[in-house]
Amino acid sequence: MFKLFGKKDEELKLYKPVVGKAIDITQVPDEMFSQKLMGEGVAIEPEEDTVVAPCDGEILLVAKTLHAVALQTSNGVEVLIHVGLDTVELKGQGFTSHVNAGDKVKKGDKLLSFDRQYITEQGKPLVTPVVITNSDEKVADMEKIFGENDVIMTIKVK
Amino acid sequence: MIKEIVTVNRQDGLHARPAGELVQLCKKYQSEIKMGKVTANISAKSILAVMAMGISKGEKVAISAEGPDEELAMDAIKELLSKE
Repeated sequence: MFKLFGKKDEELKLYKPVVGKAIDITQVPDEMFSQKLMGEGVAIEPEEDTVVAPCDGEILLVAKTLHAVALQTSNGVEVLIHVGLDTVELKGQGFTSHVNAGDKVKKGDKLLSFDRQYITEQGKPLVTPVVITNSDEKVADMEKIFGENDVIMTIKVK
Repeated sequence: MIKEIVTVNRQDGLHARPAGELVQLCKKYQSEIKMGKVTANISAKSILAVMAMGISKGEKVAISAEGPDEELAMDAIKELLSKE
């Protein structure tokens, strides 16, 4: 395989999987995420109800309780999108999945839908971490972009 | 190499939080640690691989550890998976 521009490191851009403001993962009120135990990344404060693919890839998992979805890019980077906090406790209520593990997806394809009103009524924060679960192994460098921008992470892949 | 079958007692099974805790724990040990529903063939040091197994509370999981600290690792894993 030839390398584009002869670059040594491949670059991966991740786009917002859900419309909303991007914040640093360290701002998420849950230690598992804020201390980066799940990996490096950002979080989105959702303003809409649909999760779409942040890049091209293959679906690695859809949680049985439908509140989380993960995909792997062709260069081996794993991206986990976890809708809300402690939403596993909702046992799938308020969530609909549009994909299955093994599906190939393109950036922008619909992955999950969720009911923001229901999740909020159940007392669960909506903030949605988007993390690279294998950042130690795969990420050489990462730029995180917060706020309203469409791109949330630019990653140099190891 | 040591192998054990452990019952997962975590509320809601091995979803993101316990999977993250398990992987953080396993990474502290040099040993190669694997797990699986039938045979231990999936790396316990990968969060998504652990989550993708979709293990529910009450399910049994096969665990293997191989390396200089395999017994310490196995004891710690058993403790983590068996607590609620």
